[in-house]
Formats: sequence, structure tokens, C-alpha cells
Amino acid sequence: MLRNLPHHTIKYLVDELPPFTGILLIKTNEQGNIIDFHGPHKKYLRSKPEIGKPIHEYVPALFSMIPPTISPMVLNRIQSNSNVYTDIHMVESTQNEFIVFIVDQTHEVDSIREIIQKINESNLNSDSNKSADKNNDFNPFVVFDYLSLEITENEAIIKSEIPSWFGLLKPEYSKNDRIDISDVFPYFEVFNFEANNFWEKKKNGKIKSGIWTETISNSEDMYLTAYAIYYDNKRFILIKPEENINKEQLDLQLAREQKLAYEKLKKAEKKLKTLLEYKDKFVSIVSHDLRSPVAAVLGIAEMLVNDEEELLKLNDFYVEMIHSIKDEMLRLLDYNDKLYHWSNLELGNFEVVKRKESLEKVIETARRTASQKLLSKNISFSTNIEDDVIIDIDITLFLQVLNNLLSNAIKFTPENGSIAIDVINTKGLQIAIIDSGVGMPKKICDNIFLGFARNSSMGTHGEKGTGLGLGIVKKIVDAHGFTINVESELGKGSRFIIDIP
Amino acid sequence: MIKKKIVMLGSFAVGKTSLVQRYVNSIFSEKYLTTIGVKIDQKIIKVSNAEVNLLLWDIHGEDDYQKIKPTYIMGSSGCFIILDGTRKATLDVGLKLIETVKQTAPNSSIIILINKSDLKEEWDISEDDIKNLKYKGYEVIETSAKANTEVEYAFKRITQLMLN
Repeated sequence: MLRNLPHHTIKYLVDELPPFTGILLIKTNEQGNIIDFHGPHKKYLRSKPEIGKPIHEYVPALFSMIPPTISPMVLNRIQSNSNVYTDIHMVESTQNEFIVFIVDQTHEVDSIREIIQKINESNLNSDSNKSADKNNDFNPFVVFDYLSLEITENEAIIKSEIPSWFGLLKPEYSKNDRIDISDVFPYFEVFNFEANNFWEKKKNGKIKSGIWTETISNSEDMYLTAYAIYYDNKRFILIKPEENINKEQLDLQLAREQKLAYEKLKKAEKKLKTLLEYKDKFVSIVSHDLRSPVAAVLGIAEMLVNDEEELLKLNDFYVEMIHSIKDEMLRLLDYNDKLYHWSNLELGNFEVVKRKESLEKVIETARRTASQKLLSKNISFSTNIEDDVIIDIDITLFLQVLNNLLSNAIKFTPENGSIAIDVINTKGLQIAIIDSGVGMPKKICDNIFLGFARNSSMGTHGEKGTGLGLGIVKKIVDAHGFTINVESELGKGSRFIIDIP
Repeated sequence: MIKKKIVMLGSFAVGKTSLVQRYVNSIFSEKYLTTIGVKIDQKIIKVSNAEVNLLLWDIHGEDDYQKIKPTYIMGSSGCFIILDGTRKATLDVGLKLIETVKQTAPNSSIIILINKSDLKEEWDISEDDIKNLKYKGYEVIETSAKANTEVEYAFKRITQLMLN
């Protein structure tokens, strides 16, 4: 029998039970009928167990206990025979089979023998002349720590000794007292209803109540559960403290605390999103409304710069100041446009309208836009594209991507440097914008597409940036369903790669 | 003495136990300790010259982990549906529980308590939600077990409703 036990049952036997022989193993089915047994049955049982018979005929304490409500379930210090005290462990072996380990604990209860003696005497129908070691019947429902009640038509009678917890809760009661159970435990208003429904079926078995709490002395709470039992036309209630509640409560507590924390996070995220939306709307409105006055000032500055006759009347300082006004207003307008664009991208106020376009033509358009800047720094520009490729893009938005990437490359490439756009068409399409510029450390590369770059540095000719350009690039690339990455090496240059699946 | 059963129902962590503890024992704890099963407290209250023994059924919170058994609600004369003003989801749970109460204890008086009124600036349950509840005919009381706001009144009010 031992050889056939599953690993977890053997592990339980080795880990949890005392290391000595003398343990009786009884295998039962789901109904509690004996399938097999192994060990010294004479020590624990009054007769040899018969295969197929209910285990509670030999171990009355196990009536209605199989299948156990939890596995493993342990009943401590059960009097299995007139002079033997045992711990009874019920372990689920396989899905429909259970192993009952009966372990001798007689020596362990020596220290509390006096109490055991009292219980035995009480069980022997209060016959004080009989001693505990005589072979007599005992109440199958007397289990340590259980309050056992027999329910008759009109009343409930306490059949067990008063367990210590009940003594603390209601010291006025003794064994054989009649008890108004709903008055003592208001919870029974509910459980009585369930129990009565169960008892009406007149079928041997048990049902378990939910958990309820009673406050004992010092405002300490105790969790209780009850069983309603029907056995041999008799109705019983067993009430006991719920021992495994602490772990259950801890698990539930943790789960709910996590749920609460998650709810708080979600709420904070929602609030943050609303605030960010407000910010973007604000930026969008401000940048939109700023555009007209900035453009007007720029127009006046350009008019002055182009009016050679008027310029001749001014000294060099004022001429330079007018040029500065024009340059700075141009930059402000560029920044304002990018800000407007950025905030609208953030708000999702744009639509990607894709069309089939020739990539070669798109690159050429971008090159033309950048030609003035390329010329001013004498930067060579080349494209490596084997065959023209047709790509599905929103031409206006995608041109902005290439314009921003080229403008960025020019900014960080010194005079006489080089910039190339390579198109690789293998598994997917790759567009790489490669420059021979100053390169970037990894720290900058990691955050380069976030927008509002705090450390947006000046170009090799002192060109100023908005810190928004690459953020806009990323948003447009994402909106197309493409990806963008950057590789860079300090002093050698950078390579921005757009992957088009 | 008249005995009346009142059930405290609501989602988890709305403050059911805190309200009972505030009312019965005049105590409040900041620490959230989830209720397992049911705890029944009693308090005698005098309303309109009648002494009433209130049996307060503090039932575990309703969520995916613990479901409230309808038998807990049976025989109740009064029912508090408790919401957490800072958590809108507790309103949905509360409305579902009201349906359970109507089916299980149709004569039970129902009052909706929106708890945590000390955190009113963080409330997710809006004035419109409250108006809507009142429009549906529910009595709504805003409470705070922490600040001891309207707790006493809520229990007194439900006792009046139960006696009528």
C-alpha cells in the first residue's frame, strides 16, 4: 500500500508525522468507505477494519469528516480507543481517495491527562465509578474544541464538555444545558434556516456554515464555523473555532490591498491624463494664437532688412539688431510651429492619410528643402537606393520626419562633413539617415525621442534647437506603424533607422 | 424589547466595519482590516419612546473573492448599502446589492450611505450620481466613520424607517 502512495502523500508522511512506526494508514474513497489499510489496527481500533465499510464505524470521530473540507485536515487528541489518544490526519491522496493517518499521541496527552480523564468520565454517562481505561462507548461528536449540540424538536442541548473558547464567551453554560442557539449566536438566524432545509432531507451527512466572528474577552475576535449534521435520525450542531482563518485573511487582505492600490493608481493615471490633455490644449491654443503676432513682427523685420535705402540711414549696430530680430523671430516662429504640431500630435488631432508614394521622390523633396543648409556648411549629401520603392505614407507628415532628421543631421555635422540616406530593401524596408557628425553618448540616445529634450545642445555652428523635433518624428513614425531607432558613436556620427514592415 | 436586524452591505473597503465600530464602540481605526465572514454586534437605541435592540450584521465585502450569501440578508428589517465616495465602482456594486436585497428581503428599509465624507474633495461619486439615486427614491446619507459625521443619525433614521 505504501509503495502505491503518491509522492505528495509520502512527503506529508515524512515531513509532518512523527518519525516512529506505529502509524495506522487507512485509505478511503470519497464516501469514507475503506479501500485499504496498513499498520497496527489493533492498537487503535476495536476490530479489524473490513474493506468497503465506512471508516466512521471504526473511528467514530470521522463521521461526516470525509471528504475533509480542507486537505490536510488534522483532528488532535481524539480518543480512538478507550485508552489510546490519537492525532488523525486526513490527506487527499488522489482525486477521489483519501489517506487517514492515525498517530498515537497517548504519551503526549499525559500532561493533560486529568482533563482527558474528566472528559472520559463525563462521556461514560457521568458514572464516576467507571474509569477511563474501561472499554465503553463514547459520544462520536466529542471532539476537542468543538461545542456539540443535539437538536430536538424544540430545543438544543449541549452534549459536549464546554470547550475553553465557549467558556470564555458564555461562562454561564454547562454540559447538558438547554440553549437558545440563535440568542447565543445570532448568526444562527441564517444557519438554522440552512440547517433545517438540510435536516428535512433526513439523509446522513453534514453541511458547513459560513464564517462568523464573536468577540471574547479583551475585545479579541474569534472566528467560528458550524456544521449541521444528520446521523441516525438525529440532528447535531458542531461549532468550532476556525483555525486556518489567519492565512485566509492574510491572503484576502493582500489581494484587496493590491486591488485598492491598483484602483488608486488607475485613478491617478486618469487624473494625470486629464491634466496632460489640458496642458496640450493650452499649448495648442497659445501657440496657434501666437503665430499671427510673431509672423507680423517677422514680416516687419524682413521688410526692414530688405529696404536697403532705409538701412543706409542706420548705423551698423542698429542694422545688426534688425537682422537679429529677424533671425530670432524666425526661430520663434519655427519653435511655435513645432509646439503647435507637437501638442496636436499629443492630443491626437491629426489623421494619417496614406497614399502610395515613390520613396526616391520623397527623399529628393527633403533634400531640396535642406539644400540651403547643406550648402552653408559644405556638407556632401548622397542617397543609396538601388531600385525605387513605393511606400504607403502620409506624404505631408512623412516629409516632416525626413526634414526633421536631415535638419538634425546637418546641425550636428561639422563643415565639410557628409550625410547619406541609405535605403535597404531586404526582409522589410529600412531607411537610414547617416551623418559623420559629433555623435551622442548613450544617455542622450536613450531619451532622444521623448520630446522636450532638456539637454538639446547647440549645433556645430551654434544652431539652436527646440528639443521637439525628434519627439515629433517619433510620433509620426508610430502613427504610421513604423519604428525608429538610433545608433551613435561619439566623434564618429549617428545613424537614425526607420523600419517599415 | 423589539429586535431588528440590520445588514451592512457594500463592496470591500467601503467602511462597513468602521461604521459599526464607530456607532457601537465609538472607535475608529485607520488601518484597513478585511472582514472575513460575518460579525454581529448589538446596540440598544431609543426611538420615539421605544427601545429597539439593533442586531448589526457586518457582512464581508462583496468582490471577486467573497460573494455575499443571500441568506445573510434574509429576515433583515433594515439594510445599509455602503458606498465609498472616492471609488465610483462601489456604486455599481451597491446597486447590484440593492437588487439582491429587494429579492431576498423585500420589506427591508434601505438607506444608501456614501461613506468617507471627510475626503469629499476626492470623491468620484458625483452630485449627479447622488441626485440620480435620490430620484430613484433612495434615501442617501453622506457619512464619515473617521470624522464621526452623520453616523448616529444614519442608524437612528433607519430605525425610524423600520418601526414605521
